[in-house]
Amino acid sequence: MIEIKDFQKKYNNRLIVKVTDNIVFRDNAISFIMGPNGAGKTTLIKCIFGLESFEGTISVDSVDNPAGIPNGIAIWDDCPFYTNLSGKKNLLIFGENKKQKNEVLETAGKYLSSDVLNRRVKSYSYGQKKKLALALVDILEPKYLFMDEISNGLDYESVRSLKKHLRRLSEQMTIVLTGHQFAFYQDLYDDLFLIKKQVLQKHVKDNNDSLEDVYDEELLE
Amino acid sequence: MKNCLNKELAHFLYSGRVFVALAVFVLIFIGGEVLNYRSVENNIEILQMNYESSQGHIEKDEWEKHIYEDFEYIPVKNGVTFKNSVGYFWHLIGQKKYASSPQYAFMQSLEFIISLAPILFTLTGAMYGGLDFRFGVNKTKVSRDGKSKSFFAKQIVMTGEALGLCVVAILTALIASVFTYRSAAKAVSVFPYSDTFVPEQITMMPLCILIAMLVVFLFLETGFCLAFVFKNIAIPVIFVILYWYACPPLGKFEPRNLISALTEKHFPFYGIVVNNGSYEINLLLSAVILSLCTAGFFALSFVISKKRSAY
Repeated sequence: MIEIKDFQKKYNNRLIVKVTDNIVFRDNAISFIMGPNGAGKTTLIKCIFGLESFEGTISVDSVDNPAGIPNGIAIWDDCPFYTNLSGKKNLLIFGENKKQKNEVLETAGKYLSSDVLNRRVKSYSYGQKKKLALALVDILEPKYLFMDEISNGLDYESVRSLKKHLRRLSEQMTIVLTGHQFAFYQDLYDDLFLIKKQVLQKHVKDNNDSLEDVYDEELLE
Repeated sequence: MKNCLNKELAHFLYSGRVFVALAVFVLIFIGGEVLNYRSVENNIEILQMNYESSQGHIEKDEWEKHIYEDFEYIPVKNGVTFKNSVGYFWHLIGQKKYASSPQYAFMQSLEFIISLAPILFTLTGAMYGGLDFRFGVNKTKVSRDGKSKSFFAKQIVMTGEALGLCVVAILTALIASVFTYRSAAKAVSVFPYSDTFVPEQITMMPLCILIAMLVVFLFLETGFCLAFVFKNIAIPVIFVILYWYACPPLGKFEPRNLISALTEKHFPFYGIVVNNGSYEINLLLSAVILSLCTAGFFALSFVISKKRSAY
């Protein structure tokens, strides 16, 4: 479980995002964070993973403000990899020897062909980079999975299979998603969080509300 | 920590950097031994010319007498002049032959390591300090392992790589010297070779190793720190090269002078590596100042890694 208390993040005394009530990302549930561009969604994830300094407390598995989350992984929007190396080599580097080489290739083969995996990542499309990152998730099998705008750049088939895959993963993982393609997230999330006027807050789910309606009502100025 | 080390090692292996680094080091150190051999040959040629030009003055059967007599190398306005040039060049041949021998290979490797450290080890440090920023993967690593573990893993693997490369370089030089020495021995066989060259008492080897390691660590940390600060690999290398080769002397206590003074005092420089003149300075003081510089760069990188956003 991830719990956020009395949290605030500022850049040069300018408030980016804060938490007034305690926020909890439940185990084995999919949480979706909604907010306009620049609301602080990515910054919040960076704070949770210890990439940024902040005020307050973020507890992961009851450990306050951990230096990193060893059993967690974040898929960032820019999907950073060593672009001068092949996808296969990147998976072997970031796979942390969790799986044997043949298992790594077998897992990656579900997302990308061996031809693509043997190519340098710099030749990958945006969607192929995302698929490589998804393969890494399958290899590392983390407990906490954060995905920043994961549906961007994926083709229709990938989006459809990702949806099923995320639902399956949520049986073993705590998943936190951010994004703007509401159709993708609509029937996927369990808990909804909004960043409204720089404050992260939980939204009580009403099954009749679509994400677009919630956005229009709560976040549109 | 194990995971962090795995990632750093895996990148070192899978990126092919291990092969490039090994190839560079092996080529440089074999090259050094070959140059030693060439130096012996060149000196023989000069000696031969010298002999021919001085035939009228020195009887052939007086050669051996001259070899054992005192010689002097006197710089004059438009060049140099010698007192007993035969003795001088014979001494030089003996010195170069000794420098290409396996007995001296280890010492010359240390001299090489020190003289090449500003480029080779600054670059090595800069790779570890700046590469992950260049590709944006620092945030991937730090998000799982934390800033401190990620930092120390880089430091450990960087140090291991540098020491490993030094060991490979020294072994390469030792093997190469066996062959070059054989060739050099053949090359001087036209003269009745006698061991007229007696090396001076060399400083204790462990001290020389320590000095070399001190210099290696200084440049590793310099490269790492500057690459970390600027999130760039080229800047530290350019900075160090400009400082080392283009900057005018800045005084007695600058690292360049300290390294030069330390090596001049404790390394013989019989081979092809030369050392520039320097202000003399106390061994302990030099070591302390250089260690403080190294520790300073290390501490600065660590503080920045803790305070700054990890991407």
